[in-house]
Amino acid sequence: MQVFLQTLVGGLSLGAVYALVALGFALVYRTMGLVNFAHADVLMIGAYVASTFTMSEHLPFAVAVVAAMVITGLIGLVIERMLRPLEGKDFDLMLIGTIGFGIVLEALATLIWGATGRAVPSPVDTPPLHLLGASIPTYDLVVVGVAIVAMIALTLFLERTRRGIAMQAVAMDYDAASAAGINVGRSNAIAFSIGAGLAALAGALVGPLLYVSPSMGGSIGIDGFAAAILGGFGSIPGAVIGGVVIGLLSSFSAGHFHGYSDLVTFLVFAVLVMIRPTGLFGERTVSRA
Amino acid sequence: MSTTLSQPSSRVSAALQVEDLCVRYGGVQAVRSVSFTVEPGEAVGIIGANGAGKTSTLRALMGLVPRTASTLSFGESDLRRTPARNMVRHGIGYVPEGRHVFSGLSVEKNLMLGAYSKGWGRSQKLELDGIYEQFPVLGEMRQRPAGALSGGQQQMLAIGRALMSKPDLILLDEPSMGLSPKLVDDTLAILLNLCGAGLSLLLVEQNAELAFGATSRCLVVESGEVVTEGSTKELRADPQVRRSYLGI
Amino acid sequence: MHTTRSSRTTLAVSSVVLCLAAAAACSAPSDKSNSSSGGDSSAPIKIAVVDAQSGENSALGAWEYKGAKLAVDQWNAKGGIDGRKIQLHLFDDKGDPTTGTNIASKLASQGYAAMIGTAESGVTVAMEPTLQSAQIPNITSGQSPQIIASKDPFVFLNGPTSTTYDATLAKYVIDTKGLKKVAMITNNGSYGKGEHDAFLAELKKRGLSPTTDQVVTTNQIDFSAALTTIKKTNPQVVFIGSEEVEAGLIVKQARSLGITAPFAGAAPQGTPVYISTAGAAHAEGTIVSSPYLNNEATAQSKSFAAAYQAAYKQTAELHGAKAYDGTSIVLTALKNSHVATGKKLADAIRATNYQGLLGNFSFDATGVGIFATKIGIVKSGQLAAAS
Repeated sequence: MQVFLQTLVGGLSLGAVYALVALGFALVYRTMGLVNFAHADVLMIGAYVASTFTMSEHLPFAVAVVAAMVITGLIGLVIERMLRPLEGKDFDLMLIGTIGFGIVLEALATLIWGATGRAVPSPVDTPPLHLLGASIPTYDLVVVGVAIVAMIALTLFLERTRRGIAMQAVAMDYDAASAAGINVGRSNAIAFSIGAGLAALAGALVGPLLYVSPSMGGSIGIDGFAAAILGGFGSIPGAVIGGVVIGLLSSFSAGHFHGYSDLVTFLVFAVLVMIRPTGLFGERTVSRA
Repeated sequence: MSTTLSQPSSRVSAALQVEDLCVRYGGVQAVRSVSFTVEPGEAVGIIGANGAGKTSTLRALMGLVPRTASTLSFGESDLRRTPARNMVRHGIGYVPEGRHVFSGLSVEKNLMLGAYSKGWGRSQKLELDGIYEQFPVLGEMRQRPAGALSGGQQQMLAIGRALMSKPDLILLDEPSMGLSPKLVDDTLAILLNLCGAGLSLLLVEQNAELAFGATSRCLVVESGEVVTEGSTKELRADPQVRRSYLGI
Repeated sequence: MHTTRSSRTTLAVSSVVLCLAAAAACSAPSDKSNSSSGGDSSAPIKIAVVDAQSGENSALGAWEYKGAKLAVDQWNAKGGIDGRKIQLHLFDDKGDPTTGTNIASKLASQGYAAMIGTAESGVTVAMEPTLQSAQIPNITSGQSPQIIASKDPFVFLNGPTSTTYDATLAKYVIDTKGLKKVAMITNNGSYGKGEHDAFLAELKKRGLSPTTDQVVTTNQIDFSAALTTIKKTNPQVVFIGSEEVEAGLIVKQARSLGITAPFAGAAPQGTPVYISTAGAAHAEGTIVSSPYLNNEATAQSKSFAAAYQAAYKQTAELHGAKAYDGTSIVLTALKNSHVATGKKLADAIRATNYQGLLGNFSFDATGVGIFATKIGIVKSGQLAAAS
């Protein structure tokens, strides 16, 4: 029982990180119809910027995270501006553009911070909580809490605010949205930079849990992407559920299948996606010009 | 259907003036030097066969495709360099070909987006109530996703959406497309209602009967050019028009 | 002697043909018998360093390159070998076996005399067949017994194998310290598996079994299940067979789960990356089996460390020292054999007795040159010799 509970705790905190990554994918897809392949590398930049602020500048963790989100939000604006001539015209080229930007970000990170990477100390020093025989690191609770807040904030924004609803309309019908008076370019820019901010948040949070290096985005990105697909690409609650499922799946299969855990995790994922190709919450209708 | 439609804004005296409108897509001249006017409160139709360039004309007016014109103005505003998203601010509403409602969003959100440029305040809420009064079916389905509506209902939604910004001129692109004859009649009634409320109308239609019924004056377009124009009475009597477009 | 016109023509033509043939032989870059290093007597000697310069294990790659370069720079400053300069070229294998094998093919076709690297057993094993058929001697920092399993005469280790590391470790932990309840956690990569098998063999020799034998994957990030199982068996010490970063994460998570037992492992557990990833407080007390504990041990290591610091403004450590030793051995063999290549160079390396930073090298038929390590303990974030 203790092993089960502890694995649950580990899987949930991991799941929270994947959920944040998946949220970023979901937002950009839902509002721009674009799968952003630079997402995982933006996460890496967020992790580096946040850890630089905490380790070199000695800023409090929360401030460092917010600063990282703002800076990567700006990077998101720049990327969107450069991709804008392709929006609504050549979708595939836009996709390739994001892959290119990912590579550029990795090279930039290696140039600025070196290839070796760095370990980031946990920002929360309190001893772990003990609940029902399981030991819950306090920092894991912080990560889960932040992920929940982010999900709620994003949902409220998209469903209840004028700009959020307009953002969704742009993905559904580019021309009709323009005709209705929506500034599509600006809407996309904001969507992309919020997506980047979410990636930075995930990166800043995951840094102390793992190890920050220019290639860290790789496997976290793939798991986050799988989470988004599982939940139904473009669905906000789906991204969160998908993240939790992938996180739990990873931890439990590690517990039972040891060296074969990766294989089992992705086999289960493949089966789930075959049974329900549009994901748990179905794919939101997005038209791509 | 009731006639409670709020009055358009103070630019009632605005006329749409178009001179020498040209549209070129990738080597093809879709619209060649089209000129016309729509006087305040007038309903003008553009008819022609499939591919004649009618839809391109409307899309060009809205700025959804690149175009050139020596004159393109509405009232005192010169619209030649105005992008599509600012047309609403000048009092021009647009109902696209094929409706193009935001299918994943609710009916109510679709309507509210029509008023996006004006912000979402009290007067927009009042406008919304007005739309629900005029189109009760939309009121009944207000939280349903727009994609779940039938063709005719989406038609009403698209028109309602355009009305939410309180336009002075509405451009409609083939509203009868894909609708049954009964629904086409309903559409005619809606259009007459709009005119009755003082809106100017520019209607592009393949269905000449509908166009003649809803408008007082029409242009006949072939291969991107205006070949005939006149009052609906004159055009109804024209033997060539009767042969080509009324099937008589 | 008379030379008739026809015999002069024949002479002229044959000279031209001979010159052309010689020119072709000298410049053929794909000639596998290695013309550019061995043929021309003033061309630089090319040695390749292949290591991860990106990814999780790039720290090792960086240290190795620095160690190798220091040796080469020192030799070049003394005039090189037989009047020829030594050129060191760096290749990034990204820690990936496929990339490594591509590089191996490149080395074969571009006339490299020898290769230093890689620091990862898995990549080294993958590159072995290509290098062996190209007859390029390779001196590697990998320690998995898998590397020498194929009896490849071209591969040499610049450190002990896992078998040696773990024999010394087991002797200290079990025999000297009397800690018999040992839990094991290893990853399923080439290094981890080598460590797993070697340490398990040591336990069996003493009639012992691990309290639990947990295996994780190389890119795993949550170890709750394995660690909770370990905690339940209440071990006195936990043996860890995993690379720097992953091992650091395992230790960090273990401490937060309430596991207080010390960890024990081989070379990776002695590195600054392991200590900083785990957190110095959590890594405190880690028992490390390593042939190079710190820079103060001998006069030789002190001067090596000083030279390293001067050249790179960084503190030297085990991997730099290993690469320095390995490169020095290759250079010594090149000198002794008058820049031989292929099998001759391999034989020369095998015959080289070298007093290195890690100890005295004397290669056996399998390519292993060192058969002992020392024990260190991590204290206050630094590795110190065990008392």
